[in-house]
Amino acid sequence: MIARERAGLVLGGLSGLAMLAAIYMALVYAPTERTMGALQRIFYFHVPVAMVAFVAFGVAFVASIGYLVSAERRWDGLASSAVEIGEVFASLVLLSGMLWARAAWNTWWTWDPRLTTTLVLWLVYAGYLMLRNSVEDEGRRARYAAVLGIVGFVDVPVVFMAIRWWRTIHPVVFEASGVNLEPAMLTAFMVAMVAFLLLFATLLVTRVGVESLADEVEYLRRRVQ
Amino acid sequence: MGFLRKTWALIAKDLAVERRTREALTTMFVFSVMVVVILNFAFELRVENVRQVAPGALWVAFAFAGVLGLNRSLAREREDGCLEGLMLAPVDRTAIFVAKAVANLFFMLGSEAVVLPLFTVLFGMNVVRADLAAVILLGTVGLAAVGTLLAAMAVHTRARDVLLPILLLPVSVPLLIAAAKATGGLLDGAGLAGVAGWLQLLGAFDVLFAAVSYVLFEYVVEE
Repeated sequence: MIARERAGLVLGGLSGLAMLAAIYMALVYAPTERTMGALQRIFYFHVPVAMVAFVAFGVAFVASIGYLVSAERRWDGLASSAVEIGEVFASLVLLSGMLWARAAWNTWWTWDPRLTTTLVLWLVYAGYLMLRNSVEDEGRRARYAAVLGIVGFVDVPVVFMAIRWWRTIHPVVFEASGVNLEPAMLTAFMVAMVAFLLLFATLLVTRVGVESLADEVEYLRRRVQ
Repeated sequence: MGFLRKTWALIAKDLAVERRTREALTTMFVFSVMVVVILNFAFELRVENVRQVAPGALWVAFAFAGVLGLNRSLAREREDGCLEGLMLAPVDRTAIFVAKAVANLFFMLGSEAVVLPLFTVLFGMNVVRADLAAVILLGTVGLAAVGTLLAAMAVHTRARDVLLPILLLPVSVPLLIAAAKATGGLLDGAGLAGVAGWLQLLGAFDVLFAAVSYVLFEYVVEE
């Protein structure tokens, strides 16, 4: 068994266990919030998923720079894998956020900075995937994707700042001055955060593995021909 | 030849092509007029105060027409191996980027300059104003800079022209917000000082994305 496969299995097992723990912590262990009630429990999934999406796009940003500097294909594989996973998590953030917003704010959507930034990010990286899809040449696809991976991520803080100047109604749980959370809630949140980061690592390792297997298959196919 | 003279030579090439074909300017102008007219029909029966939709109508027209012009300008380099010729010429790739971005800026500003008086006539409110021109200049600089980078990629893909709006518009969201907000503020009589924050945001976007595009362009044209 190659090292990557073993790493994938170990990470997969760990993230499975952590996810079970996170579900227990979120649904049973964490106390019920006073005003929102059980509704608040979606927070333990919504926020870690959002953070993982940002981490994924950050990984893609670093990998894109890595590719442009070194022109090594593994950087491109890492960037494209991270964007794919990030896009899935960004979709989950939007969907879980809409569910919560419908119950808490009585509307599916508001043009709040965090929501809107996530939506714009989702669009930018949807463009990234479409760009990859429409370039045949491997070297060119990798270069173009890396350029967009950098432009898109540089845009994130600017988008957020621009939209922030509008009225915001999104609850701010983590502030610079401290955390507005019960200790038990914070513990549950941390467990969920670890679980989702492990899930992200598992998916990333597996996806990058698929990429390099595809490379290998391509290489063997060329040798046979 | 110095960087500036080379860049100017490349800009002059684009201006000469445009003078002979009038492709980009005509397309952009007619298209912007169409957007304004369509928006006029789409809004007219519901909107009491034209000031409420004017900033949006203007920037939708500018952004969409800009996409058309940028596509045209970079597609022209793809045809007949023009870009390969440029790459063989003894000029820096950064000079090619600056020249294309400046030429695109000229074309976009040119078509915007014609749309504004027409808009004034159609919507019955004066948008030919010096303070508004400053906002439009700031907004268009950013669109031209990052648009030139993204268009250089888009025209070399299978999807060609279709891809540019999908790549450019989400990235330009902060620019469009700031530009529309500043335009609205000026039309409401806030004055340039009243929209200073939005102007700063526009300036920051311009500087940031001009720099990023300047650095990244050479990886786009590398063959």
